[in-house]
Amino acid sequence: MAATALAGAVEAAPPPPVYLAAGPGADPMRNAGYTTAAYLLFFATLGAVLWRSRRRQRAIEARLGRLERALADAPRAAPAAAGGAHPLVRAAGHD
Amino acid sequence: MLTHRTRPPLAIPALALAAAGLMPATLYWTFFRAPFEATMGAAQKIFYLHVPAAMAMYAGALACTLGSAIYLYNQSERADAVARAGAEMALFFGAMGVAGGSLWGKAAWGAYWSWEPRTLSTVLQLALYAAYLTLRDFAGDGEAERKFAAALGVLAAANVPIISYSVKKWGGNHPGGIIEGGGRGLGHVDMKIAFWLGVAAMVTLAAGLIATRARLHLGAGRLAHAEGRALELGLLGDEA
Repeated sequence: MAATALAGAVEAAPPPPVYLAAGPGADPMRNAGYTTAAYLLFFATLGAVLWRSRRRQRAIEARLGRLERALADAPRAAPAAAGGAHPLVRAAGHD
Repeated sequence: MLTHRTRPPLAIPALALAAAGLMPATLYWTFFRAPFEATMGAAQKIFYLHVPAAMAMYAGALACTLGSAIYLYNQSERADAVARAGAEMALFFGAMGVAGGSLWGKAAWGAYWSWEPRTLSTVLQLALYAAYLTLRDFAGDGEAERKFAAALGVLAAANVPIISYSVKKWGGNHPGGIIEGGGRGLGHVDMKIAFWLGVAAMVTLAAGLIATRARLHLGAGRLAHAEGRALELGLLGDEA
């Protein structure tokens, strides 16, 4: 019944389909594995891109914060001792 | 606390919110509303991912081209960051489009790969963006390198119309005319809704990711600048 109605709707749709036609297939779920693989691949890769971007953004912000704080404090602090990093930078954990 | 959190520009959460709304709607329409195609069955559902991903690739290519052109004109850091982010997203969405197409090709044509013009020209486009990003990652970050990459970013756009017209000019297995013909090939209204929702979701997602990655590159540039200043002041010592 539904298939007949669907086929009727497709026939009534102007202009007629040229490539993709909606309708009842003999086995609509055949090749569903390829569809599942395509969508899983997309969302898994998207998740990885988002996760890496977020992690890198946080790392940049943390390091930039430490560095800018050290730079802002630099005029008030003593110059670095020969052969060593500025004490404030060491305190900030810059690596 | 020594961390330095900056609030993202309003566009990023707005685009993320829009994409978060559009993506489930696309999946719902794709899998629960759009009917199965008569001859390919479930494999045709890849269409609602494959073509929108290709359109998102075009969005990334546009960002890369415009950003590169603006950088060549005025050496704007922001334009450079947008160009780089655009290339990344063109590569990501293009690769997803090709991978989805390959899986669909296996189901519909019986082969993962076919030496046909649209597939080949798309892979060539991905190779151009891979070259651009390799240049950005490994050739240094000086003005000369940036200008060279920007020129490549502009030149890469020349291949986009070749991808678009390859089906018409050279034929091949790949179908054409579905979009140019106003979606006539999609025989059911729910197929059209699923498709256009997919396009909106994917292009919105691409725009959000471009903005996010551009912000990240700008932050990395600021960090490099701060490290340079710290080195000049002797703050980093031998650690740099």
